[in-house]
Amino acid sequence: MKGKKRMPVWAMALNDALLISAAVGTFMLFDYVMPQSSDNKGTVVATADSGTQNSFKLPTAEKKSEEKERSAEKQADDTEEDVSAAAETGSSADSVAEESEAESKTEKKKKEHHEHTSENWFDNTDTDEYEADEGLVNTVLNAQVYSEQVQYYESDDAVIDIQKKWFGEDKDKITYFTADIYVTSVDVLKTALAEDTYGKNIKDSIFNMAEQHGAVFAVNGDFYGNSEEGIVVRNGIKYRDDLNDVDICVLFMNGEMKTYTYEEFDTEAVLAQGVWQAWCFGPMLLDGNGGVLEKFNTTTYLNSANPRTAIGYIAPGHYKIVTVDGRDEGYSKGATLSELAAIMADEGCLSAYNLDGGCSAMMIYEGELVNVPDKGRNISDIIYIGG
Amino acid sequence: MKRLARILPHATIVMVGMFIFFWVLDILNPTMNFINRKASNKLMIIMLVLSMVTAIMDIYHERKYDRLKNGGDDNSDQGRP
Repeated sequence: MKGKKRMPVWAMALNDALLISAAVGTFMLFDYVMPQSSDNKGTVVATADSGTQNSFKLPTAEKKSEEKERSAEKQADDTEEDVSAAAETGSSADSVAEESEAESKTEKKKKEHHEHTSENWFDNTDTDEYEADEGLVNTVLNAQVYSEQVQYYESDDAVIDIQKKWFGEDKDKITYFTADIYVTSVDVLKTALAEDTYGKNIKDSIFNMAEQHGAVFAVNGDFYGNSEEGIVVRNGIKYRDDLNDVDICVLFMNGEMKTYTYEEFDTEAVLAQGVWQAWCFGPMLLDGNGGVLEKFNTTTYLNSANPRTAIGYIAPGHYKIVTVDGRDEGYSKGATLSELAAIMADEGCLSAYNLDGGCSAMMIYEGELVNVPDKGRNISDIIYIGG
Repeated sequence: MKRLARILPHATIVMVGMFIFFWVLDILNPTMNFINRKASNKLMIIMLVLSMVTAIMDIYHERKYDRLKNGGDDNSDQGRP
């Protein structure tokens, strides 16, 4: 009896390989592309009320009050023309002394800050992180940074100063955009979800989201919709509070912003303090005192030079958002996490946190792109001001 | 049954291939959480069941083959190392 003809081994192997590809493709399509909205409307964990309004002073308000004081002093001086010349000389000598004292204090602070970033690094050895590259950090900290103002925005509740900065040459050049943000209260720094809906794989363009919410300024968020776990709190509404193994960034109602490793994060205790925003992407970049972390909770692959977006904290009501362009040799190669951390430290941030990057790294102002993104893509969420 | 016996090993290979792929992706980009997702966990259960059934069927066929080879004596393989 003649047996049934069997498929050759190579054809069988090829067949299985194709089946594996098809199965992976189907899985990816279902799990990473198809939008899956959720009925989860979230739980309110913090609200912006009259107590939180006008908590912080804008720099312009300080300047205005200083100007008022100066003009009042000038008027007083004009009416007291009989003040002796000797007394005036003494007063000017005092002011010179005060100024030089203030300058020396600033220099001392800057020196301490640099010593901290280069030597006394925070030891964070318990997690599986990637070590910071000390050479790269020092290169960035000592680099000659060029800058030019791109945009300036001022309203009753926010001031945004957007600068284009760059350093390095040719293939080592890094170009980035910094948004120096002052707000009168933390609720001015808002976030928005794509289609105003919480869910998996729900995406929209940054322009649509910014337009829908009347945003003057917007950057990409943490792309929460790509993962099923990790804390998500947006504008005081908690959508989920389970943890995955990434670092966490929390913006509190009192204006403070803190970063945590997932091991040290106590969800209940943190939420009890009044959380306005919580992001889960990371890693955290600085140690809370302006020093670059010794190790980052990441992998070699994710640590490579790429376009980046990061949010930094300087003081309550004063934040810094940085978008680094990349994948364009000669214009900007992108930043490794070590370089990004050094940039944030150099910008004067005490703590800083890496948000989604790559094609997502986008910064817009009044509906126009500020940076030059690598293609760009639809994202789950934005951080914005205005509206 | 014969048809099932032919398909099962290939289904197992496909599932294992998928998980090797996810494992590599997870090393590169753990943030995407390829292995610990809910859908991946369901796939893993399917893979485990398939592997178990394939292994049981393989043992069954091996024993049947041995029995036929030794003229139907079930205890003929007792002296095996």
